[in-house]
Amino acid sequence: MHADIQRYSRQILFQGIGEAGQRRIMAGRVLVCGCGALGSALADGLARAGVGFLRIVDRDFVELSNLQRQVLFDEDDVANQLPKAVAAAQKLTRINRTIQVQPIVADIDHANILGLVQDVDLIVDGMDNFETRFLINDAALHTQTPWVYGGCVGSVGQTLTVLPGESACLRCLIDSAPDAGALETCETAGVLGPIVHWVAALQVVAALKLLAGRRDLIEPVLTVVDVWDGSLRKLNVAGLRERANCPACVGGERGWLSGEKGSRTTVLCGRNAVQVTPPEKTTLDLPELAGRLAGAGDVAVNRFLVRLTLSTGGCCLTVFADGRAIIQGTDDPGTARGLYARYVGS
Amino acid sequence: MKNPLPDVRVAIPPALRPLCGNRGELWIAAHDVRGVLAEIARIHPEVHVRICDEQGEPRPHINVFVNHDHVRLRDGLTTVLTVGDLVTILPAVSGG
Repeated sequence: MHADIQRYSRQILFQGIGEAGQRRIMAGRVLVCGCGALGSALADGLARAGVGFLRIVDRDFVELSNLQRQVLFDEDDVANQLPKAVAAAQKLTRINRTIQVQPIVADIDHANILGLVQDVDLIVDGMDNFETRFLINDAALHTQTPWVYGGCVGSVGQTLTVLPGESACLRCLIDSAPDAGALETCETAGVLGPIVHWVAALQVVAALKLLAGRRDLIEPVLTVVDVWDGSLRKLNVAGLRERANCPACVGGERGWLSGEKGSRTTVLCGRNAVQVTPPEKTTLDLPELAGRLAGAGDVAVNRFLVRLTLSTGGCCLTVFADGRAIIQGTDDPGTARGLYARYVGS
Repeated sequence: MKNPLPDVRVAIPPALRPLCGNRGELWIAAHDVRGVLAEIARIHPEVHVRICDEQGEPRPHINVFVNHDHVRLRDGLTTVLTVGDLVTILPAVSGG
């Protein structure tokens, strides 16, 4: 065996990969969207497997509460206040110097996503919100790039591999962005480290199959797992794109990519604050939201709004019944959208 | 005499279990999926409001499966059920 692939000998011995598959993996280029819990496990798995090029995009910095489940980071990264993409790239380069890792510290939005996608073979999803996932879905369909959705909260997770033009896409399953506050987030419901690794493992396997040229092995299923009860279910979504008459993958709608859809942010001049308006009209159950936020900081509620003062970071979220929020303590729209997704949900 | 409605299992997602006695599964007698949702509205209205909109349709982030199939691959909410079928109420998962 040639020296350059000797380090992958155990993976090559696996009959599903082989030497030819490994060489394809080593020539593969992957965009990792988000480098939190899922994203760092994805990047770790792909780097160790020898994927030749990883572009890691994340807008956030490493915090102490990340270390419970975000495998690429340590206490030095927290002390050094490193951006996650940069800390991940440093760690991955020490794990595998033969691959190229490109860290990008940025908020993925409709203006930059095509530039991030244009020269990769595959996108893997490590995001924490559906707004960006709908954007990824649009960009993947537009460029005919496969992508692997993954999500987890509490002890449960889901993953779906989208092959543009062939299989169900995210909007076949979820036509519009969930209402603000409709879904649990890891910040409100918590998350177990092991579910992150289970979902990421399934995503990495899908990625390796695609990169190794085994697209035929990708099943048209939504895989649903629960690490607390040890269950795994494969739910059939074959033919859903035709039956659902999907606006995106059948109808060609690209509202998230064009910027027509998505939450609006307005920087409130001179107030060190940003207003976030959700993409869809909604009516929040404020007492219910206040209850969910109870563990995240100081919470106050009246019949008009919920105010959450975070215990770390110095930001304060004031959320109104129509789903709109004013995030005080930042003038960065990406940071504000991130806090909104974490605590209100999208 | 009219046939009795079949008893089917309904899988409740973890987030909604506190609203129905912390039960992960309910047994419900219903002819079709719409009947299941109507029965949930009757016995656990707080669960129903989180699953369905004012028109009684599943909310955009809720997918419904009968056994292993998405209901849209069958007959949607009019999918007829048989005894022992598993109806899964599945919210999208956002975190990561």
